Amino acid sequence: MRMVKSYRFYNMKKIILNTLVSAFLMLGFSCSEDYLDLKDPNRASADTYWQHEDDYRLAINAAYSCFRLPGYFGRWYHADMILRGDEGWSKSPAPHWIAIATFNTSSYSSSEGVVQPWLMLYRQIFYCNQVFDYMNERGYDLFEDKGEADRLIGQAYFMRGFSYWYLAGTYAKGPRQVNSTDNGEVIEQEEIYKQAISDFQEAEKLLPVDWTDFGSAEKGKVTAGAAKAMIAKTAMQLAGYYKRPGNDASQATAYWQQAKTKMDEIEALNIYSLVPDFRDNFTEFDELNEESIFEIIFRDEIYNGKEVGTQRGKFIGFPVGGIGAWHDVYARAWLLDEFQKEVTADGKEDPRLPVTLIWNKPGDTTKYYGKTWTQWNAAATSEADKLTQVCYWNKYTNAEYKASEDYKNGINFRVVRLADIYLMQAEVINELNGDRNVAVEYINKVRRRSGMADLNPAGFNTYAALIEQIKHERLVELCGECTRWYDLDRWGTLFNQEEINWLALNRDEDFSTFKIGVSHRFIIPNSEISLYPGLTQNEGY
Amino acid sequence: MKITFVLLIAGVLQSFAVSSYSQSARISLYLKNVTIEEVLNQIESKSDFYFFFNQKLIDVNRRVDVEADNLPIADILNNLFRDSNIEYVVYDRQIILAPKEAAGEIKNSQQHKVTGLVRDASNSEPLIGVNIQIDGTLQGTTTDMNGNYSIVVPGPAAVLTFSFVGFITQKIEVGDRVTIDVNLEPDVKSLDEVVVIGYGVQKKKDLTGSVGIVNVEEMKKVKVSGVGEALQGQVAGVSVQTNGDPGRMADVRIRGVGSFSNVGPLYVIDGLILNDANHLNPSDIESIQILKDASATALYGSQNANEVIIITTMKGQEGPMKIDFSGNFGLQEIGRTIDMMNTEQFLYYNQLSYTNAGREWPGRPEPGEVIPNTDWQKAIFEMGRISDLNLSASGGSANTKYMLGAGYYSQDGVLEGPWYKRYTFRINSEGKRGIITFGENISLIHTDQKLTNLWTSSFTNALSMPPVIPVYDPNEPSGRGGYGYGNGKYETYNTNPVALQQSINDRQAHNRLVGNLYAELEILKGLKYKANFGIDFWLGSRKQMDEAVTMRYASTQIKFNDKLWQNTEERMSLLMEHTLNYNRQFGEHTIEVLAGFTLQDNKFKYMANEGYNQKVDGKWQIDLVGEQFNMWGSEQENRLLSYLGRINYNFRDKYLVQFNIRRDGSSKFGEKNRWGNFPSASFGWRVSNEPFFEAIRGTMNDFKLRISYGVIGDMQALGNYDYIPSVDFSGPYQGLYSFFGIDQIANEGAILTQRANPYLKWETKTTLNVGFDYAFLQNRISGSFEWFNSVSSDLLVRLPISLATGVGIDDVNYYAGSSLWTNYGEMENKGIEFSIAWRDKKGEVNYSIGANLTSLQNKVLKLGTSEGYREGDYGQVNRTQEGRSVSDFYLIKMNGIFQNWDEVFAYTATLNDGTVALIQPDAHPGDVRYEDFNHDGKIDLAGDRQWVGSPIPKFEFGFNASADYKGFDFTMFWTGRYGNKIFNGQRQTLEAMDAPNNMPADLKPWTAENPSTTTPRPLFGPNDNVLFQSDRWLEDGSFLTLKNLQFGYNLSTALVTKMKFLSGFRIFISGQNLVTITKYKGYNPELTGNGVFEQGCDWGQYPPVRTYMVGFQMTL
Repeated sequence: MRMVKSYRFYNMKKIILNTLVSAFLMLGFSCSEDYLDLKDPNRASADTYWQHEDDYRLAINAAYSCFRLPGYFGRWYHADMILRGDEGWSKSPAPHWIAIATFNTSSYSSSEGVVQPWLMLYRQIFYCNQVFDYMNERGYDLFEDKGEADRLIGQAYFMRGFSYWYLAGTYAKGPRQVNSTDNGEVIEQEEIYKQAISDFQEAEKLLPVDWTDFGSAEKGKVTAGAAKAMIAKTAMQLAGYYKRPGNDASQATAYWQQAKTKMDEIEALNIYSLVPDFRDNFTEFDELNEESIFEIIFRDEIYNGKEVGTQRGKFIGFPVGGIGAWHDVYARAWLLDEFQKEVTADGKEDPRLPVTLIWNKPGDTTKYYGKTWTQWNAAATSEADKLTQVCYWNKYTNAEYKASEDYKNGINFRVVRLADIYLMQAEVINELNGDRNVAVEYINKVRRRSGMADLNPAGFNTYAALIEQIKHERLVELCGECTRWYDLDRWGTLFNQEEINWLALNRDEDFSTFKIGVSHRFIIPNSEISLYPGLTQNEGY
Repeated sequence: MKITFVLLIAGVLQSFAVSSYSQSARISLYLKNVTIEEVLNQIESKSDFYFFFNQKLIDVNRRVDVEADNLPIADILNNLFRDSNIEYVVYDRQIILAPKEAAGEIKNSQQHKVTGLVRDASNSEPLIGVNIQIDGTLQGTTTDMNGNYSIVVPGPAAVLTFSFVGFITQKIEVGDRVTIDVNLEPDVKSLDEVVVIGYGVQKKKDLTGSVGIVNVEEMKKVKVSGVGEALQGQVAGVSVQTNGDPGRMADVRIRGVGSFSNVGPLYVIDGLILNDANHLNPSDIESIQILKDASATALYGSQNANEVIIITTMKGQEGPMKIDFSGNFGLQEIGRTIDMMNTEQFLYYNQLSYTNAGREWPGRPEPGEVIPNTDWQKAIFEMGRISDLNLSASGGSANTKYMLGAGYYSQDGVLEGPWYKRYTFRINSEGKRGIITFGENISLIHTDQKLTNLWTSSFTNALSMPPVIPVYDPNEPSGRGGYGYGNGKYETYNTNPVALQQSINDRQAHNRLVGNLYAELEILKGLKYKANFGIDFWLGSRKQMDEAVTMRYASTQIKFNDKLWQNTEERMSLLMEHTLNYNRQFGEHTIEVLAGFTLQDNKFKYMANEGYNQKVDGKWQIDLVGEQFNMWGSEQENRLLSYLGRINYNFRDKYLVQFNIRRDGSSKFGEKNRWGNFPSASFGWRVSNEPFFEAIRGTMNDFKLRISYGVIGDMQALGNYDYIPSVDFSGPYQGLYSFFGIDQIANEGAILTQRANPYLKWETKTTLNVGFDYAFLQNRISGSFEWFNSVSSDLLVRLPISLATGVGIDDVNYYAGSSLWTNYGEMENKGIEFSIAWRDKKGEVNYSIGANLTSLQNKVLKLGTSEGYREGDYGQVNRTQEGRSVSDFYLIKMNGIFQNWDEVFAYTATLNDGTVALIQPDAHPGDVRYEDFNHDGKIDLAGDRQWVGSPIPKFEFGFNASADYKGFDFTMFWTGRYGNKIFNGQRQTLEAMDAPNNMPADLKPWTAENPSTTTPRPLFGPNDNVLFQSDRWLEDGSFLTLKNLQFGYNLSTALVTKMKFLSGFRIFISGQNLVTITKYKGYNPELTGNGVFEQGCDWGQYPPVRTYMVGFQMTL
């Protein structure tokens, strides 16, 4: 009996042992790789994304969102363009603003104003490139409505083109990124502008002239007209580039012509017209109007806890009592003189002046953030709080409409509007030695809206006379709208020491530190030089 | 409260009371017609006795019959000699036969003198110097060079006590014997002590890796709030910085910084792998081991390059139920206050600072104006209270053991406002039937606390707040709260510390279940299978109720909104382990093999809401917020799958070998580099067991050499999904949405905003450790020495990538996000650790002293920034640079004070082009002179910072001493650091001399009349004196502190037993942080909360505080 028991037990032991060991081994090795394959529950991963039409729509929205942010039209586009041009200067306690205004950015290479635009425009390019890459790979096939896919691609082309346009006008050098995975080669201004034109041309083919055909929710997106306008603008910059000393001036004509063609096409679309009141281009009350060709939408609200307006007004506007703007971007005094050179046909102040600037006009009863200029000065408790400058920016601020200026100004920014195109038309005709009567008529269209007397074409039948007038007209019409820097570049001002000296003496003393051949380009953020293969710092920095 | 150790000693105790042997030893004899001599021979062969007799006096040829069926020998002898004149006397195992008249003589002459030999039971070596004492008398002796002793005792009832350090004390009743040889058993605590290593236990003497063992018995005498604090100074190589913040753990760092991410060691508690031990009630701890080298940590080593702390909690012991109850009550105070200027002194220098700046003094008192004279330290500091109550019941039978414990701990710290309460509950039990063992360790914890508001340091504000500002300001115009703050007259950027702690009610509570359930099956002798399932479930919530009061924050902001911020958090960690363990001895070979695999899954959920303006005053609910502001939420998960193996081989207790291997796969990595293999090996040579060692074994009792080498891995730095390129739906601060349509409505956006590195792999740390353990002078002195060198490589760092690739996502800090996790960094840590202990007994005084010392050198080899260095987070104070130790101080040097204009003008530099430049053209007599380090004729941060010291000490040490005499015991414990620097950020505020801050009372700023060479003149507004992070605020951080001093009294056993139900009672009184000897001028040189790259900075962190405690422990 005992023998049997222990025999059984021995067997039992063996069985248990065998079972356990094999179970152990099975358990241990049946845990496959799958156990370790976790998906991020908070985000979609790239390899499984891009399977739905909607993914591409969201991607385009994200690309648009770049326009809203501080590196772009949220702040720095305005600040950099105005400070560098002869329109503005800075009294900011933060030294990097002054550095930008005085072309002395070398020791401030990491400042926001230098880094943010670079960051933002390459970010937008990266987003657009993702759309191209995944559309190519699988996206295009997903779309039942190929037209929609085309329109999405068209918008991506427009935005990428715009970023290159911005890059060319600021840093004038940088990598050409045409897909979302590889590092592209480094190109310079001429090539960047050409890349921009090429992108805008693709966009022009794919974008609708008017989004209303696709529903009222689409209004405000970029159009074929905007693409044409940007081709015209870019072509003019390239023409200006070839006219610079040392470049092949003969190449300019083709680009002036290209610009002309595109602007003619814009007019032929017959959907744009000047708004009757100049002011309506710069307020929240008549946005996406008939004059607007390319516009960035801002909202004066908190969305998802985030401010979704532009900060422009807070940095550039009327600096009063802590409720207005900071002291970062002031208007130069000569702007006021330029406006005051001429009165309207019926002898009144140019109506564009009070829209553009706030100055200490005798008897002015307009309240800016609740007080007149005089009242503000009376209320100031210290010298530092007083309004001591000749003039300040009013355009695109809420000074006349709200109690204070904050970081979510809701006024849409009109990047391109028809008045600009008219004045560009005049300039292109002049450059092409076309019919200057026609050119003057374009100028008059813009002048008439503001009640200015018609110019007599007879007085402007030479290249020199007309370009001089165009320079004045662009200033009073477009001052503060960030076209000035591109204008000075295109007109060759930035490459002519005499003109620079004159600017420094008469308009913007910041130009006394302008270095020909250096200052027309921004410093590239220094850290980028070591991080991006093949990228070198711009000459002179 | 007695600490018990698992005993693995086999065999029977060698000596027992011989006097009873003759009575208890029974034999059976069946002899007919034999001589007495034959009978005696038979008895000798059947027992341990042997007979002595003089054949001339004793007739052994008499023939007798003997029939004894299992009778005591005494009975047999009595019968044998009943009718003769022979008497017998038993001495030990000798039986002396003598004529009746002579026997009495033998007894009388021998009764008073006992001689014998005392040996070490483990190796039969004679023991020298063993203490022998007659109980109840002061008489005693010690063994001689040969282990022999001789003592005269008063009579057979005398009891001798044999005691010797390192051996278990024996008491022996003398009885009839004249020779008493004793074999003393070595005290298993020191030699056969078993330590818990990864997935098993090992005898301490067989360890080949570097394992630090905490003396838990000593540790538990010190009442501490948490495990981290308990480790301070206990083990070489463990650096602990404590603080007095209620509920906040100490910073524990073992053998330096093992990776660039700021994580502490891994905790393995009853086999459960955790990243913290915050839930643990220190009273529940049974043992703590610190695994320090690659071999020791190997089986856990893929989870933390910052080493491993293994903790076991108390288990029940066989026997009747034992109930322990303890109560400890304490008071806490800041310990050191800094004497600050009063209003009169402050006003003097305040005025001077304006005068010096050429400005009108706004602070001039109006006639009759009463200006407050606030002592801010008095206002904010309180006497903190601690209560710590613990109740436990434990016991069991041979097959079932249990331990139940409950604890309550509360602390409110020295800062008025915050408090912390912890409730703990624990069940540990184990049942056994045949080959199966089941058991579990479960602990539940609930904590509730009002957090110390760390928004701005109240410790700094308590000093810097000018005395002219009242704590409460009844005239405060808005009427919200009425706390005093700065005004135009006395401008300050400080935050009212009382207002801060009172108006922000930041409550945090959590419930946590930590436990494991295991089953063990002994399949064959020596072969065990074990399954272990663990859980760590954590439910936490935090609610910050931020009242709108008029309180100036550090800038100029005054709060006008009330704000409610509330979050909930859930963590769930699951662990499953299967191991097979085979342990067998074959002759002189002992082998242990372990194989296993483990699965771990960690999940984390988070949700938070924020809103402003409660609709109902005093009610704080998300439902009642007037304005919803924000909400967040996310989930995280990671998994780890590991295979592990270990072979231990031991030959003749002399040659010890251990191999470990661990293969890990982590979900944090992509498929390409998911798996890592981490092998290690260690060897031990017990030199003292070699024959050639015999000659000195008398003095040198134990000597073991150890060497280990191995690789462990880490991935703590990495986020859970960092290798996956993922689509971002939220984007940067301003979001990814854009606005379109007639109504300009928001359109959500999503896109890839960052790039991911799919090639991420394990960080590795390779350590070579060489050490030896020693014991000599009869184990009175013991200790160990270690030398180690570890290189951490492939450290995960975020390498910046070009913004031109499109990855810049953050618009505020534009380079955040534009970086890619890369295995790039490399760091080296090497050092030595030394420990020594002395244990002895003098009369009735047992005492021990011990010391340990650690010296560590750190060197960053590869950092992964384009500049080759990285600044600390606190501005330009620390800098970590390749080739130097992490977080070195890099500051501008102060070079005295300009005493007059001549000195200002004489301070020039000749530049390369020959021109002579005035180095500080804006300086004025009384201003700080800085060293123009790069000789460029100007002072700036870019060119003139230089290396001025390291926050890492040259060495750290701990020293402890304890003694007991009768029922009294005494413990003292010191710890210290030497050779480190501290940047006293508090003093940077206090001695800014720019008007808005109060100053230390002993500060004598420079004036023309009373020039100073160390303190510049007061000067209103920003000026060069405060502009630079200079070494003016760098101080020697060396210190020596009396961490604990304790006196206890154990009621004597006799007294306790009279009380029937009570079996032990101890009372104690203790003090912590009683004395700190340091030149450091801040509150305390111990600093917690600094990151890897900004160590040694004092920004007013919660310092360790002084604690006085009384308590009792009773055992029923």
